[in-house]
Amino acid sequence: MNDKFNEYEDLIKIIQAVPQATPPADITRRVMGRLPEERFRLLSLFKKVSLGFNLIDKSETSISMAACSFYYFITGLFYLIIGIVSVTYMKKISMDFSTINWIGLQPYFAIGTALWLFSLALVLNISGRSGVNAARYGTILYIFFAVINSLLIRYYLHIPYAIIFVIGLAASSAFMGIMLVQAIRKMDWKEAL
Amino acid sequence: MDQKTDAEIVARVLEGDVQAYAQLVDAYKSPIYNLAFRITGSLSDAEDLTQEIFIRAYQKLYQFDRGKKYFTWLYTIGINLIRNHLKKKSKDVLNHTVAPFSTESQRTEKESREGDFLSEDSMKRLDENMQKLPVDLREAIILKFLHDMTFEEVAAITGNSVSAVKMRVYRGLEKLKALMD
Repeated sequence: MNDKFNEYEDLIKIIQAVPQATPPADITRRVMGRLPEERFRLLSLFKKVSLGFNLIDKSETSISMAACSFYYFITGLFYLIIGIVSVTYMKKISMDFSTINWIGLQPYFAIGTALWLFSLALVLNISGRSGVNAARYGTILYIFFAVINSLLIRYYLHIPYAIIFVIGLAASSAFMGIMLVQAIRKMDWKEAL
Repeated sequence: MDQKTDAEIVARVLEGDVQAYAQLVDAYKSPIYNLAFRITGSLSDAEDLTQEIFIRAYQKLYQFDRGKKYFTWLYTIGINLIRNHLKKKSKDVLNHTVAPFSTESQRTEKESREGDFLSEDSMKRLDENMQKLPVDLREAIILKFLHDMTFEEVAAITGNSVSAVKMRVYRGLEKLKALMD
């Protein structure tokens, strides 16, 4: 016992002498009677196919670094798919690149964002505490550019209710960024040390 | 129950042997019930919370890392459910009056390691004053001294650093002593 607790020795003895309360005799039966039907096999399989990313929280209060990195990877993958689909579509309709404007660059921005998030996922996983800080600031940068990009689109988008589209785009990008920062905040820092 | 046995039971439950879960409930119902009772100060709340904790643990069983200690994981779930319960009941807790020790003790066992030298009055005052402590200090003291855990185990369960736990235990004892004097 730490020296500074010595002065409370008597109090500690009283606390340790507190009698144990006995749970009701039928509590096990009541718990067993209330167990919901669970499909553990499917859930265990899901855990296995998460490719060792350890998606599931280790505790109620923190998430693992690998899980956090996985969130970045998944978000990046989302942007990559959008980017590839958009680029393919542009080629199919033989878009004239001489008339390209800010909106025409969006597929490439999406691919760029995907690469940015993939690199943050890597940095987060391999670079310890400085990597975690880099990922946090990198995500804030992502939010900033995503919102600015949405505002710039507004000037090139000549459709009715464009403002609603722009607000939706900015809000969803910012939301994803905030969730990623939140994931870092909830991360188990002991792993990064 | 040792860590290996716990992990084996968890594996059986995950394989579909639901009844095996009763062994885990039997093994840990007493510490979990006492944890809930000592933090909430209410036997009926402890009864409800014990059931909730085991059901929640069952629902999340596939998340349990079998390389870790089951009881630490279970206590973490327990502490979080108890905290949420106290938040919901915060107004009641502020005005909470602890039931007389004599009625509470109807369902307690004298398992004191120190024998019966402590008066019932000391116990009653301890119970009452414990409830006056802030929840974070109360749970740190209960886990450390009533559940005989190491600072590292308390830190893992509460999600705090070891130094923060030591500080909470120290502050809790300081406050409790002031209340008891």
